[in-house]
Amino acid sequence: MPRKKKTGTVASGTVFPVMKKAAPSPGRTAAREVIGKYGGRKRAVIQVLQDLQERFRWLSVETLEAVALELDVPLAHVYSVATFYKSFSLEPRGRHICTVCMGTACHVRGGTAVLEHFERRLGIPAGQTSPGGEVTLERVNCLGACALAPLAVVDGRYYGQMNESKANEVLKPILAGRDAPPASDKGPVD
Amino acid sequence: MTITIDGRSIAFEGRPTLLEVVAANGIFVPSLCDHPGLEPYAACRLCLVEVQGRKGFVPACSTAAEEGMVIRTSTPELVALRRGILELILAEHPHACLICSEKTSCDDFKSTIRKTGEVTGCVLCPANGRCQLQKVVGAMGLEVVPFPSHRRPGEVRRDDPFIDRDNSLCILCGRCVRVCREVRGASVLTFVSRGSGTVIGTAIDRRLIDSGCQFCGACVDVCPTGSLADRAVRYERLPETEKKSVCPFCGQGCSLTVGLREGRILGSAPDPEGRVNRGQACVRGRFLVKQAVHHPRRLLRPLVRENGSLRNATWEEALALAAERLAKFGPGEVAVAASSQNSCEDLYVLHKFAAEVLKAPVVVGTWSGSAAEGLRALGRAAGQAVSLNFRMSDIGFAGAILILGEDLPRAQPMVGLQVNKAVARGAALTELRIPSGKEELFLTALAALVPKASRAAAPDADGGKTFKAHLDKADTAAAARALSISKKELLEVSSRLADPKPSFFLLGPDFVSGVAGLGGLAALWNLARLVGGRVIPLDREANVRGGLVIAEAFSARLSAGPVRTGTSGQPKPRALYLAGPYPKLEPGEAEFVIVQGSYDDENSALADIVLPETTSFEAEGVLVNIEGRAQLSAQVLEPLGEAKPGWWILKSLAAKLGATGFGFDSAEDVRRELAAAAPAFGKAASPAGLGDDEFLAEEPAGAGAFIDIESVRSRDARRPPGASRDADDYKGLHLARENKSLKLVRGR
Repeated sequence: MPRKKKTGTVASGTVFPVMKKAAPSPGRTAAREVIGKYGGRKRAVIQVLQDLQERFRWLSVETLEAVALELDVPLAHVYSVATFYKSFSLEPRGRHICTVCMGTACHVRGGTAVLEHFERRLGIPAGQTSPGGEVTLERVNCLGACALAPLAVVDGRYYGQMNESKANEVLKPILAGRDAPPASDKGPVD
Repeated sequence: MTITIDGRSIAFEGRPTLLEVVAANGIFVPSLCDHPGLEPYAACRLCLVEVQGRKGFVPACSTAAEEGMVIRTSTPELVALRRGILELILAEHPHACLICSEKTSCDDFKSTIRKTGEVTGCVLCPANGRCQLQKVVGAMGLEVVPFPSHRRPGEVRRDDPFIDRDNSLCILCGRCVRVCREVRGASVLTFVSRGSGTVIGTAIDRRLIDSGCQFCGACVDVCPTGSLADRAVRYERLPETEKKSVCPFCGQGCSLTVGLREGRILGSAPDPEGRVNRGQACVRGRFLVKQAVHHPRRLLRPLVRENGSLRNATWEEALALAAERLAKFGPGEVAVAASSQNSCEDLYVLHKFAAEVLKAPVVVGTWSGSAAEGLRALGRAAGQAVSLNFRMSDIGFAGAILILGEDLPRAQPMVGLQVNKAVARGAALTELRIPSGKEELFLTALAALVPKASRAAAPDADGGKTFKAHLDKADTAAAARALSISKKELLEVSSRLADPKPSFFLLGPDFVSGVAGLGGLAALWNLARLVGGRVIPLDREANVRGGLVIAEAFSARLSAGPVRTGTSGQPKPRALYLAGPYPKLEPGEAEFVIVQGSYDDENSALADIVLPETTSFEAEGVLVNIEGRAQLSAQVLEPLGEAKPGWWILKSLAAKLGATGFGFDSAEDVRRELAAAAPAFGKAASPAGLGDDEFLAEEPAGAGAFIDIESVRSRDARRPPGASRDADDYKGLHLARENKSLKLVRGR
């Protein structure tokens, strides 16, 4: 089969010989790298966005635009995917991410109190990032590890049977402005 | 093949969906997300039916009919199920009016209170009376909605030109998202977020105008509710009548349905059965018809110059004065110019008037310098027939497409849709912006780089051998340098052109009217011939092909003399008769000027006599589109003011000058004579013969021979200079300058 060379649709009106000269930007370069990893397949939008979010902690407009351009899919499609999955963040997130599970099992075993404790200690309501961009507190509806309820995840590390004193322990390095312990045993990603 | 529906045995052909079979046989199955122009989607679940032998219920819109199927559409269980689904849809849609016991008498009293920002019921809704949800509720007879009412979040977005978006009326059927992606290839609209928070939106929630929207209006036309609305008509009542006509704003000739109320145009929408457009249009045909026809700059009364300024006059007075003044000029002293936006009838009578009454040297028209005329001239110079007719739908099956000198989304949106189709099917698309003056060099280089196998496959006969020899001499590396692109890129385009599927070379007027000349055209022709492709002429005015045929029919009868725009040495004509806004006049250009036009413009301001002409919507007339398709554009409303059709103006003036042979009583009379004078019209011009798929007759041309570039180049000098017309100019009314919204769209 001949290689499909599509320089763009009429609607988006791009073209030859004014070839796409990429304006160099960190988003563009990162997007190109990640897309290369998935062989430039258009279906890989989700994986590409996941990888980029891991790298930048969130998906900026520039990142989304770079993905659309590099993958040659409409920006609307990328945006649709990015807004569909809750694990994608279109807002800047902190250097540390705390996630408290509010699933049924966690709820029954005192998840609400754990979340409130996190809110008090970090000084931010769930869903927000501390003003200095240090830490983001999130609530999720289930992490699928109900046996560990109540569950919290800090910087990718799962902490089961969470309670206030355990939380204080876990948050200590973050609040001290130091790095959390390195993520060693990453749990399942939803 | 047959299936059984509700006990009735029903025959069908092909591979229709169950919903199509059901609808074709007058059985009611409600549906909100299905649309004839779109792929089945099965989002609304209202069309569920029971198929014997299958578990559960299946959506009729996405289930293919199969031989021997037994379908039930209205069992009590199905009716209850659909009712439940509809209730859920209505829980999120303002429905007070839909289930109100007074709704039948309401319209009489509440017809004018729609001018509100927020829609809380049908009487306030822009879609009232044409809403499909309203129709479905009516047909299913819903009286209560047992769920608490929930208003979908979001304000009405009014920050875009032409289109209002009201999320609270949306039922998430996805038709707009699908038409934007599947049909228009634009993908501006999409689903944003998920679950109960899902809304229809754009990337990054930008305005449509910042998202690459062309404002074709397709989303508005497919929206089953008032969620997407044409702002200009949202506060208007429904049209009293609807009439079909042909859009005169460009050369593609889309069929439009024009809505009328109290003798005025309310709005327009593409005709789903239109041969050219199949339910699609562009921003001009969809949103600007009303404004163009009822524009304040319309010329509605004859004007005559008195003491230096124009004053209103009666037709009798203006025609008598025009005849008196024209009679003073001798043969060859009056020059005539015309626009290709006039109908064939108007252009025919104009040519006849010029030839027989004024004895004018020539009729200058905007068909000169058009892409079609360029190809015709090339054929003449090379002594071979060149076929101009084509079918737009063929472009959708192209293997490779090269666009030269045309902005498709703006000027040729229907051709653009076919190009999108071809690209979706895997075609290579290249849009060339060749530096001016280097066209021939570039195209010859492309031909020289065509892979050896396809080059060998091209015939040696018909000048092929000479051309191939010419290619061997071409210095492609030098050409690449001159064009400042790499040879690799040239090679890539070239190898894709040799695709086994046909290649199409879309030739726009900018390429022809530029300095490309016949040499560039010949190079293009030979390249197309080499790879077995076709050159397709794209022009921007409604009747370029018609004008061209009529001008050719009269070429022998007009005593071709000096051209008005002629340079030094040629005598200027003493008087001018301009039918349309072309060419632009300079003050003092002639002793006496008559302008026949629809809009007050720079030319009419300089005229001695102004004769008001109808727009295309007020008079019947044949327009030949870029394909060569002759279409009868029907009259949709009475002429405004005292405007008259062009042919009427000219026959009346001829009568005043004592000429015979101008006894036309109707456009039909003119067509009868036109068919005899210009055989190319054949059936197309005869009153009875105008079917909806009628093309101009052409000499059989075949693939044609290769053209010797050197020999045609020398003939260039004889061609009149062309004028590339602005795609937004209608008879002197520049739509993008006059309409704030279009100005925003074009100004991006």
